[in-house]
Amino acid sequence: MMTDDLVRKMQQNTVFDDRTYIEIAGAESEILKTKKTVASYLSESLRPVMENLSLGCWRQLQEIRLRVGQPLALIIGGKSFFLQAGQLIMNWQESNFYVTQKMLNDTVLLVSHHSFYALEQELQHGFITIPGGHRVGIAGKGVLKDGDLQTIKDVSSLNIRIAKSIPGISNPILPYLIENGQVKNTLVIGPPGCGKTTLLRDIAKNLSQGYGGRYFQVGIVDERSEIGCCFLGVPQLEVGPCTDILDGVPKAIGMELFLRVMGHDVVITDEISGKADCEAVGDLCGCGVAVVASAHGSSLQDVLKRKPLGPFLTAKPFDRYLILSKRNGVGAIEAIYDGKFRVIKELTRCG
Amino acid sequence: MWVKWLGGLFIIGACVVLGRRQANILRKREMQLQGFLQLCHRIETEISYGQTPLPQIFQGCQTLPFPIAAIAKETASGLAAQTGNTLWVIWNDTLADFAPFLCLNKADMEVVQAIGNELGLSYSREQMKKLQLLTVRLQEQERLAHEERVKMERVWQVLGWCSGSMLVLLFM
Repeated sequence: MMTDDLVRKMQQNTVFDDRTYIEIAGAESEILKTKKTVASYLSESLRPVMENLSLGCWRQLQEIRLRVGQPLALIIGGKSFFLQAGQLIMNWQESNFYVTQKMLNDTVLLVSHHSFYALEQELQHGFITIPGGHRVGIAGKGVLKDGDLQTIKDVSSLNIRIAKSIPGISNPILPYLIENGQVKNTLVIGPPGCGKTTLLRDIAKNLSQGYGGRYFQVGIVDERSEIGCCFLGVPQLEVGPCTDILDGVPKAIGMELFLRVMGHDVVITDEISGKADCEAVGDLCGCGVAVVASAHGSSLQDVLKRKPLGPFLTAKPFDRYLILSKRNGVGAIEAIYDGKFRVIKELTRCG
Repeated sequence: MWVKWLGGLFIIGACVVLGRRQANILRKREMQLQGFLQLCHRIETEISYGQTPLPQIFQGCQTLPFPIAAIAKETASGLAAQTGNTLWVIWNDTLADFAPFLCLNKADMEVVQAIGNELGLSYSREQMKKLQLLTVRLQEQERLAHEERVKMERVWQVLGWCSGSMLVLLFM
């Protein structure tokens, strides 16, 4: 049961059974845990402000945006809010809570466990993962080495993205992905922020927890730590009991490693784009291991035009294409295509 | 008569102890600065080769002499507790807690306090440069401490004897 429904029922003084009370306690404690974890990584002057926010706000909080010299911005339910004397307002010009360089530096120190230098590999991806799977995006001055981004210094902006899983988001589409007990090679296509990674995570969880009377051995090649949101190698979001994660390993290397030694039924990976990614996916598809991957794009035609993904897809390595959009919120499926780009189903919102 | 002699011996003894204590402070100051230098070298090595996070580096400095090892351990606990305090605050608080055991002068303390201010917030290349600068400053303080000890250690010891004997002669 969704937390909002539970809270609404609580307000209506509905009589609950014991199980519902446990659900309420579980959902609320999850939000409290998130609040406590995230607040502990904020600077001393920011922490009381965020701790004073109601649980209702925390429930829908998506991002905390800190920019030096600018008002503190909170993204709640997809909308930007600012603070005026502890109250949420929508007009930034009326805000009286501005982020200072000290607030930002202290937060960076806490987020990096006082060891900014130890996160150079993570900073090449532009973010750090903290316990709970919450991601802290960093912007500042880039330090280049041989033309590659080595790290970021003089941090000027932070974006703390609150990790949330949406259990059951993949339930309506799984029947289209599995045939005769075998998972079809699937590509999830959608623009940023439409729920591709959330969907991949839920597919991994569902297959791993057992689907159609079978436990699938799932491998996740999580190059950018976005699917499992690993902290010190341990996934912070649920990915199922039969799932292995290779965290921070380039897709091409990770997929080859999984193919050689792990014997998975399904390998899941996020955002294939380069030539090496396409080749690795192609190799895996031809070796009897199902691949579920994602790619940026607003439509199938969009992706087919892109290089090197377009030419790769014309070889028809995938059996299913899921097209997502933001039209009806996170996880809204526009259409499902088969391997020959024919529409199988047009759906609306999942979950 | 024997009470006079006993009193005289007591005065000499007390002056000798005081003189030795001063000499000991000079020796300890040099040793403690060497200890902080070792700590900086350890941090530099860990950052350079392993990019080890600071809480783990401080935790692993238990082989350093007292009170440096204890300060490192206390700092590691403070960092691990994730109370919202920055390294600068934790380091300074820990130094204040261990102040009775430290024999450093104001200039030494300024350099030692800078360790907490310079660490953590920059990327590894910049971090190494800051640590090298800190090491140079600590080496300079250690050189001064060594010179002072060589010059003054014997003086304080002899001064203890002499002042004690002088007082006894005056009173007798």
